[in-house]
Amino acid sequence: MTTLLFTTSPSQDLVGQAARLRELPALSPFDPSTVDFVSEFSRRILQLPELRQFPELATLAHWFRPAAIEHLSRLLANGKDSDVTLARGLVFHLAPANVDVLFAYAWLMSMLSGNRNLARLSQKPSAQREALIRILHAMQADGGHERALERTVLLTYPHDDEITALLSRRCHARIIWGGDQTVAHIRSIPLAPLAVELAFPDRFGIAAFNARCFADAREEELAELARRFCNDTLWFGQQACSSPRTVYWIGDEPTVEHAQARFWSQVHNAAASHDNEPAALMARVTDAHLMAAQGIPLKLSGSLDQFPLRLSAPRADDKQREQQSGHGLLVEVALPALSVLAAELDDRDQTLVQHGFGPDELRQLLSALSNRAIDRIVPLGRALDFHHVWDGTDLLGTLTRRIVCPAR
Amino acid sequence: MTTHADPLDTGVFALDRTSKRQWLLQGLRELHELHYAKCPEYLRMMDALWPAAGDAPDIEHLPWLPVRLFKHLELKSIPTEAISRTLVSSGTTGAAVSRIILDAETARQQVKALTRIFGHFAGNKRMPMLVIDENGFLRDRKRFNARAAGILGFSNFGRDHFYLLDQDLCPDWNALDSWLAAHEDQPIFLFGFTFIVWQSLVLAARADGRHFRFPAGTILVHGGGWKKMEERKVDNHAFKTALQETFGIEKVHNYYGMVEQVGSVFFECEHGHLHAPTYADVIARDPITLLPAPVGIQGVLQVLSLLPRSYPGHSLLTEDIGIIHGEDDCACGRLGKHFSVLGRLKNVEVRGCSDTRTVPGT
Repeated sequence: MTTLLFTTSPSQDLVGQAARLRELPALSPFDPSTVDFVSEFSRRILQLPELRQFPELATLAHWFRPAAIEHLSRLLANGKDSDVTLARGLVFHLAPANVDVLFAYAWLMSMLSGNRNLARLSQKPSAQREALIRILHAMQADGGHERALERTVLLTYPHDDEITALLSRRCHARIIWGGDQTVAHIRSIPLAPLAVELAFPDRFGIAAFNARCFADAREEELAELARRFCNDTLWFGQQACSSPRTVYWIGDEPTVEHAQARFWSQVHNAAASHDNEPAALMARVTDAHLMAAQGIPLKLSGSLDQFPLRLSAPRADDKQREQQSGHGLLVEVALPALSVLAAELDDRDQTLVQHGFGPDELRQLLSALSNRAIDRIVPLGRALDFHHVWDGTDLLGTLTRRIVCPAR
Repeated sequence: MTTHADPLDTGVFALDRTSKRQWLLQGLRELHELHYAKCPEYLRMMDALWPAAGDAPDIEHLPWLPVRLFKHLELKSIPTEAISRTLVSSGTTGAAVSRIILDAETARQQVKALTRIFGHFAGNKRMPMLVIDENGFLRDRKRFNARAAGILGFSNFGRDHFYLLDQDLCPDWNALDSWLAAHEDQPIFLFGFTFIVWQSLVLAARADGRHFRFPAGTILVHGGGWKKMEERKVDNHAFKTALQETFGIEKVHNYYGMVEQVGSVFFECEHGHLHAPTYADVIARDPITLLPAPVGIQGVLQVLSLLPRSYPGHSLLTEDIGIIHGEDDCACGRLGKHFSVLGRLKNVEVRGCSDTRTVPGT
């Protein structure tokens, strides 16, 4: 059963919705009507009474503040002067289960690009999602923003290949957020020949720390690094793709040991201000046992009740990171030099959170990669930030199309 | 196998705290050594996470395994050819199930333990047995699950078994009438899962306006958890009162146990407390520090049993929340710890952009 969560034409069936969206004319990228809509939408998010409970919504609204939209529009205009940029058309979004907010970035960016958007949200309702839908309805009730609102359809349906196929035949771009299985399954459903596809499957985060910097840091500085590390790791129960799961300490043995002792005591302090539910503890303790029973040999650092729970290992890999279901579980590996990290990384490693390395060292690491690993390198505290270039793809570029045109 | 004294040769609730702790510690340390030597995964887990496992000074310091581990790993301390049975936990469709490996010896011990505990509460005379369930699993082995295993386990204690429910869990009252008539004036042994007893016996009889008076000495044994009962706001007291009023059943015993730990069958006494038999024990732990919780303070339950020799299930941290009321001091007079189970930890929320758990057909 399809449930329409938001549409300006609630009486239309699914085919009708898709046909209506297709017939609506495209808007120019950063058309004033969509810029106004996105700005107003963000403003209303910041006014939500329950905003304190949803820091991720505040981050979303901040990301789409007027100055940031202005910045995005300049990025898009930065091509060859003679080229003309137009909207892609009808974009079909398949949102991830549980993190509707992630999809909202792509949806609002697609909106700014001038597209009509149809999004399938997961079947599981969430307070964040309800808040976003409520804002859309309120904006509709208050009047105005017709051009943006009529180009938006949000719906949900139980997994149903026929519906997905129907929508996939009618769209110009399909964006899939989900686990590897979800992505693989949806990819087996044909897409309109001219449509493009973006898929965001399972990815992992890792961290690389220059042990010397941690060994030498002043206490206050270390406390701040620990606070940022906790935000990167413990928000969303460490289940964001970009949350670090493995920490690589780079340095000689005594320096690494010194750095670890100093840093972790600060991290355990900072972690005290993050949620640590009994069920999460049970989940990470179970994972620790599972990982110890199979695969790479591990050693517990500290005790099983510590938050986060730390395991040290001679090496780590993609398979191990896949076994970690989050909830504050980290594997630590010591390496003598950053250059040897390249050999430890796998295709699915997405975000490298780093501290203490210079741009040249990081570039060297990237050039030493022989696989598809690493799509972004960020400083501590920035793992969960969204960027318009995601998993190596410029979303704005994909959500628009570029027409080669003679110069004026 | 002959070096260890048979734990079941001691009285069911016969040891006081001091002797029980000493006896359990010795037996559980021995089991730890056995599994460490025979189960490679257990060895790896101990080496990685429990460096001081070998020299635990008391039962509280013994290592434990998280019970959910058995949903992911098939752990055994016996060669494959020695496997005599594999127990499978019940689970909702699609969810992972636990697989517990038994050899003939451990399976025999399990039966013996249950027999002794049951006998302690119900006597050793076989009574006509009324099962508040359906018997489809007897015809179709594919439908054999933990519920069926529970029924079969307890079936040994009854005779002239009668299954009250059909496949839709609806009672056949007329058949019950004639079955009861055939066993007039004999105490009956009723067995079923708590929620099914509630729904398909108590509520069904009320809805159908049926009244039964079971003979004096009749006993109901029920288990399987309170989750669905809590949702309906029915507690143990309301449950017992309803059985008393509707059927005249005075002896109602809940039990707590899990497929993952053979031997840990905790029966409810006349005062409403669950009791640890001599060869098993229970510890409540603070759910955040994992330290043992004092008497009267609720915690996550760890269960210990001397019986699991074929797989390393002798010390498990469950996800059940309970409260220890005391040791050797229950008003019923039985020795050992007495406690209550209050519910289960709520599941962690799955967050994050990847969720592979909802895709059908892959």
